Amino acid sequence: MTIQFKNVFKRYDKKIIFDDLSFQIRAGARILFLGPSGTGKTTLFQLILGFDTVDSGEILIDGEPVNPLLINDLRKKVAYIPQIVELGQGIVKDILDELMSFQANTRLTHWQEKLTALLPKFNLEAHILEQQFSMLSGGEKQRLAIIIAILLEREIFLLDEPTAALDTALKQKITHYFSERTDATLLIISHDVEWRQLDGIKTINLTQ
Amino acid sequence: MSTPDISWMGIFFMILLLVIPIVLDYWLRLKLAKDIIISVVRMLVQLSLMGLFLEYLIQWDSLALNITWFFVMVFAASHSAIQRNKLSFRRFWKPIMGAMVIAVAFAVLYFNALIINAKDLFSARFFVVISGMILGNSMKGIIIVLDKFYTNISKEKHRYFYRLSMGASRFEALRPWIQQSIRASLQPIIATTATMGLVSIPGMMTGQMLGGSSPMLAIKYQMAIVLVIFVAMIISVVLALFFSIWVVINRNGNF
Ligand SMILES: Nc1ncnc2c1ncn2[C@@H]1O[C@H](COP(=O)(O)OP(=O)(O)O)[C@@H](O)[C@H]1O
Ligand SMILES: [Mg+2]
Repeated sequence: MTIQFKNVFKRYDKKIIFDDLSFQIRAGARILFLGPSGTGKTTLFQLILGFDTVDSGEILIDGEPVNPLLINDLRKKVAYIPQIVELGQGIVKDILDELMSFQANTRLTHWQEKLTALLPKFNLEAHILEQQFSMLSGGEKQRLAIIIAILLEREIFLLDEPTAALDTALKQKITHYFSERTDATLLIISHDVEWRQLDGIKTINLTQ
Repeated sequence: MSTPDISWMGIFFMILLLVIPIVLDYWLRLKLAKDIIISVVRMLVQLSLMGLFLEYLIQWDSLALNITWFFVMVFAASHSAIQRNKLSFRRFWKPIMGAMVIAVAFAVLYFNALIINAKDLFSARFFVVISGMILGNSMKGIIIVLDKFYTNISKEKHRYFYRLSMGASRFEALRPWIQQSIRASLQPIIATTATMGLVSIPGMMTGQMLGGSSPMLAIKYQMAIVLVIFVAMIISVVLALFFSIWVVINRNGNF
């Protein structure tokens, strides 16, 4: 799946976020989006996911301008980690069960076993599943979101500051995991230097 | 046994009662006098008009007029529900009115046909009076459900977008807010139903007994009315919410 921005213009009230932004991302690419806070990195992901629309210009998916059907399709192919991880109230396990019960995820029949294997990989203990989600630390929430993204077995990762709340050792674990995911397309927003060391990673700078 | 009439003297004493709140207001400087007087005057005028109107409605008992009046009441209730929530009239009037028409018509016809076995389902005495009673409660339910739903979801935008990003359908993504808001809208009536007959004598029963009915008959009517009101309320709450979602939120889940 290729994602292309063509002369995209986007503003919020008086603030211009994108002025004539164009780029193309091919399947299998690894892109790191850079730019100071407030330059529109999160907005860019929101546009890709169809949560917001451009003011002018076009977003093309596989060469076709986005429309509701394409957006539905795309959302079944991406694994998104939002900058703010807010999964709801209640026990982690119940939240996971409910998210995995979506029609789009019912093909994932072995996610529970995979989950058990992934938790220790990112230094989480199994009892986190029995805890209240709201009681978790920022870093725990972030790792949980990463694990969910992996469990979804999607082909495109959209990671919005996925390692911001983690210590160096964990940042390295996570970036190492994704460096081995050569099967997937990676779109990453992060200020962490660890991501720059991924093989074949290209940066798109959103300043100016 | 028949109801004693209230004479002009009686009405004078009824209005004289207002002296008490006015004196208390003055004494405690509550600054409520204006609000009290306005609301009481409104109540008196509205009920007088309604009484006059019902008098004729029952006297003429015309099918067309009764049904027209039904729609006027539904429209007024929808309008009020939209205003209370500060919603856009253009987007919300169809879902809300549609929900009320279906729920209230079903409930009142069920009541007339199957519970009290009325000869004429649309006679003003039953159709207009009972649907008015059901309507008020359905309106309260709709006000709560839409308020909770749209307020809570905008408070939890991140969570909502996350669910959509997973490929959830519109209704899958909205599930937590659908559940929360429907629960919140029904809790008050569930609570009052449970205490009915324990603390106070419900208004309708009081009226009927003053009108000379036996307590047992009044109670049978009361039970039927409570159930019919409850069922109409849950139907209108669910329909208003789902209709509004269809109209207001597109297939991609965007507002
Ligand atoms: N829904 C919105 N309404 C108004 N302004 C917004 C909205 N979303 C983002 N912004 C503004 O757009 C700018 C870019 O935001 P964002 O994309 O979150 O930046 P970044 O992720 O690069 O820090 C910020 O100034 C932010 O305040
Ligand atoms: Mg951001």
